[in-house]
Amino acid sequence: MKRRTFLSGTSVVAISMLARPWRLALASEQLTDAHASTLLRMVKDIFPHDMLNDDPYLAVVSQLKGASADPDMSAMLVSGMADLDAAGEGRWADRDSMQRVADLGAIETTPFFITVRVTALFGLYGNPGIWSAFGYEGASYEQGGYLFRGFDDLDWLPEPLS
Amino acid sequence: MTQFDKSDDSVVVVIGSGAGGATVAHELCEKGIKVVVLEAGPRFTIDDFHNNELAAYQQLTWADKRYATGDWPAATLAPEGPNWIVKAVGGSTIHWNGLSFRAQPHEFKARTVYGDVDGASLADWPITYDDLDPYYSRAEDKMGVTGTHGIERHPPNNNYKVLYNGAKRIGYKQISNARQAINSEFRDGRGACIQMGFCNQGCKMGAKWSTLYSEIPKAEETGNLDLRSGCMVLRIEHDKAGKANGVVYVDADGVEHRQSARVVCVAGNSIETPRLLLNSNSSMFPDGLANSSGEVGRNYTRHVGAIVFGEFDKPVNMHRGITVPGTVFDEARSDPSRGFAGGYLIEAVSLGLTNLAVVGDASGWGKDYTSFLEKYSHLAGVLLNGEDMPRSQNGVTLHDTERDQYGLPIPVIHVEEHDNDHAMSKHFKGQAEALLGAVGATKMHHVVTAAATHNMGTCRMSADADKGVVDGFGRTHDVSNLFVSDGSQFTTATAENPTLTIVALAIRQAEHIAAEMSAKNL
Repeated sequence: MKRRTFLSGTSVVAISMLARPWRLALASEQLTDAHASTLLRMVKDIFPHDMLNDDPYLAVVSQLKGASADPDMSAMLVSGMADLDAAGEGRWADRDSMQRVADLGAIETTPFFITVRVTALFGLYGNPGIWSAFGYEGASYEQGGYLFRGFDDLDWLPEPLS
Repeated sequence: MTQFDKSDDSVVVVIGSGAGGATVAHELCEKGIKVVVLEAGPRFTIDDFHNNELAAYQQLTWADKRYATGDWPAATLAPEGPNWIVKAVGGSTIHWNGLSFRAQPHEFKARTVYGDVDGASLADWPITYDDLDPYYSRAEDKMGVTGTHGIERHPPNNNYKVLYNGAKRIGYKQISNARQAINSEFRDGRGACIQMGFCNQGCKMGAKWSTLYSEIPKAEETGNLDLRSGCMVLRIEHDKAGKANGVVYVDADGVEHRQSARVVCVAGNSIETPRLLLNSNSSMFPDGLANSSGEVGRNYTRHVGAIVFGEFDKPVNMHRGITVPGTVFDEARSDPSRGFAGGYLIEAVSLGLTNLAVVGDASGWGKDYTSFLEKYSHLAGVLLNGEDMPRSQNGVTLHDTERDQYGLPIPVIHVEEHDNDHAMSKHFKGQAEALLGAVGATKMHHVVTAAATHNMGTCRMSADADKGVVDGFGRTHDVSNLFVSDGSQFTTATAENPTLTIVALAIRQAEHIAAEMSAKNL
């Protein structure tokens, strides 16, 4: 419902990027494997779920890499990760988890963070492969809905009187 | 399929095919009147619908750019998409929840009953509940509303069991899972509900009433309907006497056309309807068509909204079955002792995991947020639907410079929330926490709803031509053969979900138009 919120967020990102002087200088920057591993760490820190393996997070990283074909996007991601690294000792991705989360908290209103968060939000929670881990059962039409599959199986409260 | 000539000036042109537009069109067709419906969106079938929140959102949503300004949540959370409505044949009857409540008698006299609320533009409707009563009954029959006309209600689902028991335990008495325009059994050519849980994504059973597969095919069967989808109306034109005589629209291929008209009915939802009138200005109507009062676009209401989710130790599985399966009416009354004017409904609500993650917290991340999402199967939700105060400054204006893909000025939707809205919202949150807590919720999660789906006002009804845009039949005060046929007519919001009232008004309006045409007054 609020998808537009985030699409709007990304268009704000695009506009702000056009105004940045380093845009052309960094336009040809490519995402390296190190960048990809940093993005994976970041996506897992933004939406941590111990019950999930890396696959759905790697799918989000692939989406971000795909989006980075756009030079503006690529420049923003590379620069955002460089800023994270520069904000403390060593690579951001190698810091302990409390520190990583604190570092992300410090940038949570930046276009870089918002772009990664929104891509992860739709990429992760829109991925049917993860739904069963949450107890969400997804499409039901093909199985005849829930009329004979537990739409009223809650048994810890009395039945409503009509 | 029936096709009328574009120069045929004997047709009624209806703009929009949602609850108001398609109903007025169907009713007119049944009376032998020729109707052209112009719908901006494409025509889907129920087989096209998706049991998937993201795919359905992308398929159905009216995504053309709009700006939100003011202090409502949309201005910050959805500044370019403050309304979640459908752009397709059938309009928002595709994604509505099917809740079909009559407005209460006192709500038609909001100004008289609530008094002079400072900073609000309250007014009485020019019609009463009794005027609408027989049309409500016809609307309920037409739509197949459960608990009316001998139509069985649905069996209670999991989410409703939580609402019902929580409400009972805190002393509420008016709790019901009836009044849904969702077939509990095969009726009127539509299938029965199988508790799919995707009411907002387009009902793949056709169990929930939608004009897409009820009013429209029935109207087509009469041979009197020419429905043109993918056609965006640019402006309404008038003759030298100031009567509407045609509309100019652009088709799906970008080709411009003009359809002549004997009568024009506008039903584009409360954003597009005033926008079209404002865009139809001329030397005779410099401030927009039918806007001598200056009220076109004003008094926009959208219901006070909020959601509270409770976390339980035991499973709920709220996603199984009807999305909004039941309602508490105890707070719907007018009772100033609560500290606010107007009333509200408490409705059980579920979201799928994707939408929950998206709206649960617009900027949520980290372990706290994901722990909440991990409780998905143990969550139950309750939704606030309350009467918001109309305000003169709230509404739709045209952007000064920015144009959309049709070359039309982008609508700007401005809302300054009234303190009364905040007081009501606060009261609801307390009651919702008590209700969920009474059945064992261990944690509460509050959700701010950004996008408005109920849009009302903006061309309000008024007996006085200076104080409103249309009369009690939806006829504009300024242009005698121009009608508003959607929720834009609402003088005030009422606490109830608006669709049943829109349909009742449309049936009544069609009867009036047909009578006026027979009498050669139109």
